[in-house]
Amino acid sequence: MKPFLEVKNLNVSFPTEDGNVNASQDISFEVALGETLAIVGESGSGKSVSNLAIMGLHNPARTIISGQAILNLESGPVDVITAPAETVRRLRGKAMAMIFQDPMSSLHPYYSIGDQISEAWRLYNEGNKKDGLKKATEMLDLVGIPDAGRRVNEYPHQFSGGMRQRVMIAMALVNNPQLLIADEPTTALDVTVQSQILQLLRDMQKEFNMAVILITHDLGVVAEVADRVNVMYAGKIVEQAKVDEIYYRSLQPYTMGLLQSIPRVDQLDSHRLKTIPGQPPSLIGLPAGCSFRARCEFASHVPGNLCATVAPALEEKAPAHLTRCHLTSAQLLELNTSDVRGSHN
Amino acid sequence: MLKFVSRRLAYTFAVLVLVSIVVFIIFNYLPIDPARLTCGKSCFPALIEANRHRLGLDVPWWEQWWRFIHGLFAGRSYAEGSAAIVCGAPSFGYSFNQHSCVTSLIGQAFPVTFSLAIGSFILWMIMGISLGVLAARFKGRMPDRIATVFVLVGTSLPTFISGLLILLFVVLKFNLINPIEMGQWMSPFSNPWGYFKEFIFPCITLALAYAATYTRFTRSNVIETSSEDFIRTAKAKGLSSGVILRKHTLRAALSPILTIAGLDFAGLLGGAIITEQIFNLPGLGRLSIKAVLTDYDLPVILSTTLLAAAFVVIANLVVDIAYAFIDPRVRVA
Repeated sequence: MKPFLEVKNLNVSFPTEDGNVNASQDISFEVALGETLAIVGESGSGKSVSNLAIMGLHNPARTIISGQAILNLESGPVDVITAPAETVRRLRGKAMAMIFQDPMSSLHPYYSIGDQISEAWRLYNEGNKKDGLKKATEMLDLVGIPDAGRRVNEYPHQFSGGMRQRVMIAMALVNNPQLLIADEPTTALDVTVQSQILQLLRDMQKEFNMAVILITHDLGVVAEVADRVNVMYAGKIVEQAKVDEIYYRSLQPYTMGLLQSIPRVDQLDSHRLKTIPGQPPSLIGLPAGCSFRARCEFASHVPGNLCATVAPALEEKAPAHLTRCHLTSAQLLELNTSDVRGSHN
Repeated sequence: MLKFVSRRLAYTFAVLVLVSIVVFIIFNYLPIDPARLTCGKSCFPALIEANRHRLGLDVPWWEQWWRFIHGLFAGRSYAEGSAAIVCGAPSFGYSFNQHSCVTSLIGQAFPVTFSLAIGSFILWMIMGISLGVLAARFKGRMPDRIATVFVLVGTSLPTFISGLLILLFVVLKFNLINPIEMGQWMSPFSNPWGYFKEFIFPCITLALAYAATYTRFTRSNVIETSSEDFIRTAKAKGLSSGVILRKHTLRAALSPILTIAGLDFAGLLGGAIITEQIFNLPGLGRLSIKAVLTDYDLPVILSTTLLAAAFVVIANLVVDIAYAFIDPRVRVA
């Protein structure tokens, strides 16, 4: 069976006065039903941009999108990049749903929670307002909001941040979507609430057997929920593998840097936290060669001037493990375990 | 909700009392002696004093104020015996210049001002909001450019110019109103066509200036609201762009406009001086400007000032209550 979502060579760019901002380039990945794909990367690496393109939420007048994003629906495959806007609109909220980073501002302040969930449900179901409110109450109950019957009539400002994110999840799931895109759903929440929301997302995924794309910059979150991981840098996927491969056998200097910059409780305070030096490059007119080379510790191990002249392709260097690097997997594994770990101790 | 309304009502009442006291204090210290103005060249001190007593100006301002308030609720009479003048409640006092109770002067002028205010209000709200929404929807395209020009012209053209232009080049040029009839109050019930003809041009004049402001305000509010996160959520739900605009964007974008609209309307109820003057409409604006400039008619000045203040304060109350129905965040606070 084909995976539910197949993204092939997706490019998104924004024309500006200074030139095209190539926000995401040559993005290819798949997500199957019941599977969680995490997309990791720093701000501006193209995580959200590529997923907003799948949802069709970019302003078409200000965005150039090419490539494919195929939803394998029961009724047949639909490429949401080339399909008419009206077709894509009718898939939003039904086949694919999205929740956003800031639950404080993502709900309409003037409508009750029940009205907002009911509106989403009634868009795709026959039923009057009363049925909609009943459905909304059920959903609130499902996402763990206590006293749902009363709270369904309340307004967003009467809910805490975590509760609002639960409302957003309830609203996204009201029409049983097969794909849920969660764009940094826990970034605006405090840590205890974060893990509750992640647990809820996991439970809901089981309940509805959804394909989930989790966009985050928090590698702790990734370890907790993801099956597979895409690591993005400067608009490109630089590593794509199962979550264990990423954490234990990473074949990508950038991912290694990210992993080492996570503070750990088992390391002494004398151990200075490692950072990746420098800044990500501007996405306007990226120079030739590898986008990460200026910050890469391993660039010196690559013979000749290869890093500066040739952009590495995304290649399978281990089974089901893709990476963009001129080094071989053996070299990478060796560098990952010895060289870097010691260098800052 | 009941608590909210009663608290706001008490507040409104207090503001009105305060305004009336301030107005009385100001008029008490004006360097004008209304008693001196009651008689012309033949004045002598005894007559002035007698008139002062007749006008009720021989007592301190707080007593004058109390008599005024008392008269509002119980009516008031001036002079004694056969020359007694009685102004029934609610009495705003008696104008010795116009030989009439102020209440009846206001009663004649208010329908004129109200017609002008409500007519222009409806016109400018329709024009301003629809043009503003169009401009926002087609930002940077033709409708937006037309709206920009309209806003520029509307805001930079003062009413006394646009009013005169309309009067000269539309009303008089095409003989739309008999100049002799102009300025006579036409009842909308007995003479609806005459009423319409009399008020449509002053209403357009007044509406043009306001519509420009409202176009600009609507446009920027709609554009700003369109980039809100909750609009993106509405899109992600799969709602059509029409529903998003009507139900989600406009609901949030137009609510603040209600506040200014209420206050602008109330401000006009106090009298649109320039427009009334140009089109010779006998409204509150004309009544008060005449009282100030030619007659020093203190009871009229006092009453129209208080009335204008009352309209604004009451409009504030109405807007606040309406806002509580529109915005749930205000309701609970």
